[in-house]
Amino acid sequence: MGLQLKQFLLTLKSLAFTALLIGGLGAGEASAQDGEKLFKQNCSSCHKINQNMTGPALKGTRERWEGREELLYQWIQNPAAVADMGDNYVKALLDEWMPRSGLMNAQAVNKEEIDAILDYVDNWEPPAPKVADDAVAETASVDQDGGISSTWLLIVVFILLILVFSLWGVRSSLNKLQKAMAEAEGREIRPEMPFGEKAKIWLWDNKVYVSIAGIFVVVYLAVAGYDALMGVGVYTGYTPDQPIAFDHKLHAGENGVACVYCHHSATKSKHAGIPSTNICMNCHKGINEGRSEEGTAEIQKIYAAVGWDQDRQEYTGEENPIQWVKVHNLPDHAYFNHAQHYVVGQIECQECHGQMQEDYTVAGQYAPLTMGWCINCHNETAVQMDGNGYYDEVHGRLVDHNKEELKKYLEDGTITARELGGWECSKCHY
Amino acid sequence: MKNFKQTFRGSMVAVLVLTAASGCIRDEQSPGYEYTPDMYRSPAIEAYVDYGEVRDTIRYDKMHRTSARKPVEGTIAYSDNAMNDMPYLIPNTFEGYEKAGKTIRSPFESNEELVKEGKEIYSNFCIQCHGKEGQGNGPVVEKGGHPAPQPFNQGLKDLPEGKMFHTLTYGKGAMGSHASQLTKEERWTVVAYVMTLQHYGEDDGEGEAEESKDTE
Repeated sequence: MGLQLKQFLLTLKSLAFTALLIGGLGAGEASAQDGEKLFKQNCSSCHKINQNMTGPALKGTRERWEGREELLYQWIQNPAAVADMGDNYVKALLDEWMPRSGLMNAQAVNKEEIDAILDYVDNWEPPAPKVADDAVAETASVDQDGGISSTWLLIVVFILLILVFSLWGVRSSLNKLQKAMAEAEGREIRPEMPFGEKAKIWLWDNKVYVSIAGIFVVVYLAVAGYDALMGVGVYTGYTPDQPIAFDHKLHAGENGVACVYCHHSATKSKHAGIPSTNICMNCHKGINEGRSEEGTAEIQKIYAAVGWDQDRQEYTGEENPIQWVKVHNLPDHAYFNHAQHYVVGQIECQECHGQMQEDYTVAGQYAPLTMGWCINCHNETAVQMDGNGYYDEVHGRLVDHNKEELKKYLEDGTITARELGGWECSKCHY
Repeated sequence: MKNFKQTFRGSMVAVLVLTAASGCIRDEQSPGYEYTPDMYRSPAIEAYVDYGEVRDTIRYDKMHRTSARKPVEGTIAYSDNAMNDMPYLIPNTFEGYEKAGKTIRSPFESNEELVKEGKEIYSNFCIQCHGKEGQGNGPVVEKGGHPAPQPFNQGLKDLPEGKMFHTLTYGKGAMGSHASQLTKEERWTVVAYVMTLQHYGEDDGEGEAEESKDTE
């Protein structure tokens, strides 16, 4: 029994040893080959491979440091020490980059890892722009479709026009012929009836159809007219083209950027704010390529507006403010405050602006923003009392002083914005 | 009878005109028909409004001018919060960065409430790049192709709070300044949360405890 146990333990030990050995070997291989992973861990927050960013582009590092291989290792592991050595190349490098980005941090990588990173960087090729091609092909085919159908339409219209003109010509020559024949035969020509009279006779002859059609026309006009009147001052669906085709679906939807990241003044002010370009640059300093050529062109527009030199990674000071088109235009006689609704009321942005992160590229007006729409929401929306010190205070006072009043509010279990004065004229009109 | 006819004709014309007008309103590019513009347009200055045309007066010199502007240099904000109003005196230099790390301390005592508030700010203003747990894997990095920031619990583990505040104020490397988006109070609040993320993944660290409590 004892022997068996011993044997078992021995097997276990050797098994564990083998596992360790394999594991160790595996780890060693990974550190030699996983240059990509190491690059992402240690370098990519400041360096891109083929473009300058916070630091210089890393592709071709070995060439540039030729003859200074040992120094390169030291430089990566401890830049401050190498900077003091006074090497010519290092000096030039520092002159170029120090004023903008400062000195690189010391990197905790050993020589093998540095080799792996440099191998990865030197062998890196830019990925083929597959998505862009697809997108271009798609738009091209759409254009073609549109082109074909409109040419066909033109051809059909042209043929119809020819038909109309030739028939008209035939008719008028027939009329002339009739006239000539009548003259030749010495018959009396009936005087031509005026168009109005003819139309009256025709209408009377077809009075059933005419009245049915007439009813349709009147109903249509009434509905359309009512619609038009109700649309005065209501801008639902207003989605103007913007100087930069900002894609809400991509930014707020796919890339998960919170609405208030860009429209940050919604938390503090009356206006949600059209973001200033420094906020665009918070991300687009690092992202200079779109998903398609069009996207890249739009990003270039930001650079042109803020005066960003992409190669030198600095601002030129040449600014051309973007002329965004304001979408939501509330009349001057109505007051609306974003902070009040977003922070205190805890209303989601989407409630008034629609599923901007799913349905919109450039912004459009979703809600009608009419007074009826406003007060309807005030009537239906229960006030969020939890964790709001203001209401705790108000309730406290009601409980202490005016229990009847509180009872009245709580009758239906909810307190709406209306019950707290959300229907008072002077809440919004003053 | 004749009167009726005239009225009828008049109203038909009106309806036709309105139908035509309805076409304009459905146009995505046009804001549509405006009723009483003198009540709509504010003569007092409002944000983001072109003052080239106010109350039927066209002023070409005011047309297409920048309406959103920076305050005049040296302007000191005035609010009920002195902390936000005081200027930040350390300059945006590399020496300033080091100095901030050594000399600046958060005016707040870190506690559960502050960390919770900080987390809220973090989830609106930081999470898209730094990721939910501060691992540098937010959606803007993963899907948008932004260079990944260092994980808070690795490369930035020993970053002092003063440097965090300095970076939030001026930006550093690929990260831009967030001073226009966050007040000083908010910056310190979010720093309190980020400091818990520096200990994320530690067995009995603060960050871990915070995470497991807040994940629902």
